[in-house]
Amino acid sequence: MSTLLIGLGVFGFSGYVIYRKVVKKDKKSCCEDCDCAVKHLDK
Amino acid sequence: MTNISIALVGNPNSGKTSIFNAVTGANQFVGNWPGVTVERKEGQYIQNEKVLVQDLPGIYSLSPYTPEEVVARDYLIGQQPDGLIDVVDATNLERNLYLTLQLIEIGVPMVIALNMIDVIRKENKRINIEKLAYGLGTPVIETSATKQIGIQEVMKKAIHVHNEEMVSGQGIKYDHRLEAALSEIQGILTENEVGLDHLRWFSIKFFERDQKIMQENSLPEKASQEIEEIIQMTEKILGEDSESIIINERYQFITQLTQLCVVSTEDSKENISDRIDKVITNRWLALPIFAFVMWLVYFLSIQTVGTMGTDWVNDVLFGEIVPNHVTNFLQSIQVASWMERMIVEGILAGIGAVLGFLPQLMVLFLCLSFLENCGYMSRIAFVLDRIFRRFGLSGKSFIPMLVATGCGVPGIMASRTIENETDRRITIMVTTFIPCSAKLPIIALIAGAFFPHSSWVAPSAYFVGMLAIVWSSISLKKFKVFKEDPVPFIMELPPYHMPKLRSVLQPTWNRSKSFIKNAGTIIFVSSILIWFLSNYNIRLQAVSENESMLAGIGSGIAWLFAPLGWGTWQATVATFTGLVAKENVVGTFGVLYGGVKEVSESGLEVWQVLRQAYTPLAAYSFLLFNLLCAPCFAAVGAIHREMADWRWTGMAVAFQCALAYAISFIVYQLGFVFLGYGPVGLGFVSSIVLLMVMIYLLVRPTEKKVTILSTI
Repeated sequence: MSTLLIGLGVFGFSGYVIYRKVVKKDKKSCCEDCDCAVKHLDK
Repeated sequence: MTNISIALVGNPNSGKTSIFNAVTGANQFVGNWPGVTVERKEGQYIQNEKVLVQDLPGIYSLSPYTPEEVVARDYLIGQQPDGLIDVVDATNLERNLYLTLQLIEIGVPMVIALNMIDVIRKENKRINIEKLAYGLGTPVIETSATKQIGIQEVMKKAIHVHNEEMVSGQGIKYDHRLEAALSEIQGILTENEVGLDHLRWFSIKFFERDQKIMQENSLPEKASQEIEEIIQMTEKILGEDSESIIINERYQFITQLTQLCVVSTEDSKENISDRIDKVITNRWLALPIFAFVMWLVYFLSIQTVGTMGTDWVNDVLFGEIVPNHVTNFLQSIQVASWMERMIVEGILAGIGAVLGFLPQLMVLFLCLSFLENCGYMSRIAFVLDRIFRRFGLSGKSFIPMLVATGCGVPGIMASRTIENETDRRITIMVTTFIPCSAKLPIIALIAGAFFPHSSWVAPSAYFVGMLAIVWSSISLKKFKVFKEDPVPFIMELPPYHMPKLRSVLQPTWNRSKSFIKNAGTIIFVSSILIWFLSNYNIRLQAVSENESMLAGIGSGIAWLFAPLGWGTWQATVATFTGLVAKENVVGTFGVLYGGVKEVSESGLEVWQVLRQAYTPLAAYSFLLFNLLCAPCFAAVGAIHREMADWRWTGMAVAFQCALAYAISFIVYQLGFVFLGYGPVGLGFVSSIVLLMVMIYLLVRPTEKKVTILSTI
């Protein structure tokens, strides 16, 4: 049971990270100087 | 109340982003050099959510030359904000007011933020803002973005000016003959319903014969002819071409105005900044000082202060405390052994290997922030301009490289400040040669594990990057596709000042936060994947590492890197995982070598395993390849965005990989013989040939650009 719960946590979080990085990309997640609260208006 | 948009406009390095941060509560990167902002950004005013504040890239005029100037002008004319805050650097009033006059001509409600007023007071100068406001017909508020003086007042005034629909600059009049010509042009434009929203501005642009504006707002031929006649007549009367007439009139107005407004209580004399610059930017001393400063920065971060923290994180935190506690916890809740191994030998080993370098990185970020904020880095751009110009690039190319020390992505984007298209392309191709923060753990790992007592190894990574840039620029400029003269580089040197603690700590924290975020996300997932692939075979049976899927994949490619001295499947895999994020190189080593239980109770023992697997020469070759080869996917994406062409993007990546391979090959093969690792062989001869080819590319004559003259 504990293996299942921890597995769910680890793989669930991994799935979320992949989802955010690949499917729903942060506009500028790669840029450390970026404050994501601010909209970047020009490509 | 509907939404109001207020744009911050001004010259580069006048303090727009500092004001933007103060009024929106954002943490946009602020640099003490021009060209930090290359995109338009928007945030909400903290005191009123309905007010949207826009931070525009710095511009010198509304006649744009560079891409970021186009961004600003297109927005101001095309989309039109409800109000403007013109951020004027009070220490360079005359030059800043040139843009102010152009903004006034647009006719959008405007307020002037007379910024850096604290510096003016320090210099014992005084600006009579009542006279200035009267002369310009625009409200003027004294501000200091760094000292938080007048920021909220300027916002309130901008909202007030918008609500009252106050139009600026009603009283500004140029020579009566010019005014008569403009008035006639305005009449023609009105008849043809062109530029009705900004009639004065359009009339001036038509008078200047601004091609872009004339193309976008085409007039019937008769009207165009009439305007041309008016322009020619005025040129004849005033004895100059139309563009010069406008420029002269603006500067004449500005000179008269500043003479009335600026009161200096002291004769201009050499200040401290000038005295420091005499040494720092000295023709002979500048470069040795720069080399010493960078050596000191790396010495503090990699060899001494940062290392103390890193040793503790590696040996104690991720060597004992975290693994022991996690293991005990997992065993106490009776987790399956594969899960326990995956967490301890996979996730913790990978994340721990990367986070171990955080203290060194933080010291490095702190030092770089200090150098940027105090004004030293802008001097380096000035100093390097002399050198860069010799091999065909301008000092402007240094700004993207400076930004790239944090992250390659904004570095590549910062190339937008370069007007010349070929210079811009070369800069994009070479910017990522400068080690970004994600590459620093690789430098620290190799320096710490293989060269613990040599302080030259870490800074050498920085200088190898610089040399790669120099070689690439000279060699590429010799190809006719890149042949073009560098444009002049004009840059103002901001006065030196002791940075405020917050402005040094904020970027340090932002960069560190991003590093930790990467470790907790990308490295987390990568570590699981690497652990799985290195512990299971294709039939999903638990096997030893050498029989694993990863060993199979790595061994298939590893031969390619054997001539570089590190043709093991582990190093090959680490190099490829580095394409996802460069920190992954270290994370992969952490999983692949840190998981060897018998010898890896602490980080230092991982280093021992590495020392057994590679020679110092091979390790240095590995470091060079990983520093110079293709950057991470995010940076490749940025290259594509800026090049706007897959062919150029492919060429850039191929060039980076080829150069990385060539340099690593030469260093390893020559080092192999000269350091006594083995006899002269085919590799040595090949490296000599390759070296000669590289020298030839450096010194060969430039390919001539053939200009075809078309004849009718």
